[in-house]
Amino acid sequence: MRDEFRLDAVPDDDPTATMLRTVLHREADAVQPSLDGLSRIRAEIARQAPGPGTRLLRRSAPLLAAAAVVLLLVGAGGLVVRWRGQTRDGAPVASGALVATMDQNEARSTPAATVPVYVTGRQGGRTVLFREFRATTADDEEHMVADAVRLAVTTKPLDPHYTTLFAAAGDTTVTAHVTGAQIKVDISPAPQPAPGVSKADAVIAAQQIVWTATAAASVAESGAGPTRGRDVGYKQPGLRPVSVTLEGRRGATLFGMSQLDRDPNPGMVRYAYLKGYQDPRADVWIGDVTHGQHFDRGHQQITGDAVSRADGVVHLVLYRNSQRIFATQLGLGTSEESGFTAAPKPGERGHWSIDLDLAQAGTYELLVWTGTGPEPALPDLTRAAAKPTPGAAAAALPDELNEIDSKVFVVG
Amino acid sequence: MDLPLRTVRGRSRVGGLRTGGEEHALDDGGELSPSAVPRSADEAVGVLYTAHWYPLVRLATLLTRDASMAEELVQDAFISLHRRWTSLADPGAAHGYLRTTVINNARSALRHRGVEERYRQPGPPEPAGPEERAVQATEDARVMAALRTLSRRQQEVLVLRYYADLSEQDIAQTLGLTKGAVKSHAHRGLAALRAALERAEVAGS
Repeated sequence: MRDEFRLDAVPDDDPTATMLRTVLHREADAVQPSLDGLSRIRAEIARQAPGPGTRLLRRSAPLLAAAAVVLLLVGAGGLVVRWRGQTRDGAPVASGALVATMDQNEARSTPAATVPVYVTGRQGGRTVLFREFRATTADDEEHMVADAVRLAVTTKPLDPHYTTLFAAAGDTTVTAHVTGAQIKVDISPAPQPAPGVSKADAVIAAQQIVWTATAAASVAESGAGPTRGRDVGYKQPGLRPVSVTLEGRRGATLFGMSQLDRDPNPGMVRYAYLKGYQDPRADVWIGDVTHGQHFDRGHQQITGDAVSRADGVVHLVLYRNSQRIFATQLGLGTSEESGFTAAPKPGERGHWSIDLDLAQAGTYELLVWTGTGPEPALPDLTRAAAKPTPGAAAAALPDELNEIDSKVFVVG
Repeated sequence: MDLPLRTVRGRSRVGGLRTGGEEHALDDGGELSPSAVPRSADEAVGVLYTAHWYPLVRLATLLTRDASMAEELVQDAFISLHRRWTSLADPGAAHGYLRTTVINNARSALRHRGVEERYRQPGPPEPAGPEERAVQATEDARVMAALRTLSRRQQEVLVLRYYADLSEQDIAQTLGLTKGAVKSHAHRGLAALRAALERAEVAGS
C-alpha cells in the first residue's frame, strides 16, 4: 500500500494534515526575524573577501596560492580529481589542489564538549585513519588542539578494533599555537613507535597528527566546540599547514622514518585531494558514532562515508544483543570530489545516511562495508561495548575483500 | 558545505524588487527571472534577501526550534551563495540552492546539538489570555511536540510540504531524495504524527 501513497494527493480535508499546516503557519508567523540580517550578511561577506587589507589576506596569505589552484581547477573542469594509489615518499608540502568541503561537516558533526581525534586501524590491507570523538575540558582553541593531539598520540582508541601506532609513553606534553595561516604543534618527548610500525605506518601517524590538529581547530573556530565561535576568519582548516616539532626541533623525523615539515615549507597538510598522495582515511567508516556511545530510544540518524566501488553502494547490518536484526544497502550520495554536486564515481568518496528506529533497549552493533565479498562475520566486540576499556587489546579486523567498519552503541 | 544547485521553485509571492537603484524581477515563485539576473553577487544577495530572508528564517526555525540559530544558518546560506555566484550555472536556481543549504545546515546543526535535543519539549504555552488563545497555544504545543517525535527526515518532508507548500518533486529535489523516498517519509510521518497526537490525547484525558 505504501507505493500507492501520493503526498500530492493527500486530501486537503485530511484532519491531521490540515491541523499540521495550520499550526506550522501559526508557529512560523510568530517568528520575527531580525531586521539587520542583510547588513550582517554583507559585513561577513566583506570580512571574508580576499581583498587587500582584509584580515583573511593578512592571516592566510601563504594559502591563497593553494586556494587559487583549487579555483582554477574548479573553474576549468568543475572537478578536482584525487589521485589514488600513487603515494610517493618525501615530505609533504603545503601546496597543491585540495578542497576542504568536508571541514564544515566535520565541525558540525562534533558533539558538544568533545574534540575529534583521529585514530588508526587496518582496512583493505593498509593502515588508515578513523575518527573518534573524545571528551575535553579545554576551553580555548589552542588547548583544544593540544588536547586532541595529546589524546591521538598517547591514548589507545576507544574502539578495540582500532590500533595505535604510538608506543605507550609516560608524561607527554603537547603544546599548540594556532593562527589563521598555520598551526604549530610541539610534542615532547618525541613519540616512539609501537612494535611493528612500518615506514608507511609512520607516514600515516604524521597524518594522524595533522588531521587531528586541523579538525580540532576547525571545531573550535566553527563555534561547535567549547570555545563557541572564536572567529579567526579561516574557514578551510584542511588547507592550513600544520608544523610539527618534536622536543622543539623543526625538521625532525617521526619514529625515525617519516620526515616532518622543514624549511621552507610552512607545514604538512591533509592528504586528501592532494595530487600524488593517497587519502589516509579509511575507505569506509561510520562517521558520527563513538564506540560505546549511549542513545535514548527512538530514531537515530547515523551517517558516514565510503569510497565508491563499482556498485556505488554501502552495505549495513545492524545487530542487537548479538542478534542480526536488520540489513540493507544504501546508495552513496554526493561525492566530496564533485563538491557535493554529483554522485560518486568509482574511486570517489560518497556519503551515506540512515535513519534507524531504535525502539528497544540493548547493545547494538552497526557493521558497514563496501566490496564484493560475503557479509562479514560480526567481530567479537559486543562484550566490550557497554564500558569501553582503555588499553583493551587491539583486535584488528582481518584484511578481506571487503572494507569494513563497525561501531557498538547502547540504547536505553 | 557546498551543495548541489538545483532549480527548486517555491510558492511564495514576491513581486519586483528594487535594490541599489535597479529593479530586478522575480517570478511568482520568488525566482530570479532570466531577463533580470543581477550582474553581481552583491546585487543577487540583496534581491534574494528581500524575497527570502523571512521565509527561510521561519523555515529554519521550524526545523531547529531556535530562532537565533536559524538566522545564523540562513546567513551562512547567503554567504555560501555569494561565494558561488559566479559559478552558478542557473541563477534561477538560487532560491533552491538557498533552501537546500538551509535545510542541510539545519540538519548538521541538529545532529551536532545532540539526539536528546530532538525530543526537547517546546516551551510552556503562552500566558493565559483570552480562552481561545490559550486553547490555540496548547494545540500548537501539542502538534509541535508530536512533530518532534518523528525522524528528522520525516519532519523535513512534512515541514516542506505543509509549511513551504512544495510538491513531491520539489521536496525530492530540495532534500536530494527520490520521489519514492519522499512519499515514504511523508506517509510514515503523517501516520506517526497521527498516532502521536492520539497518544497525547489519551494521556491528557
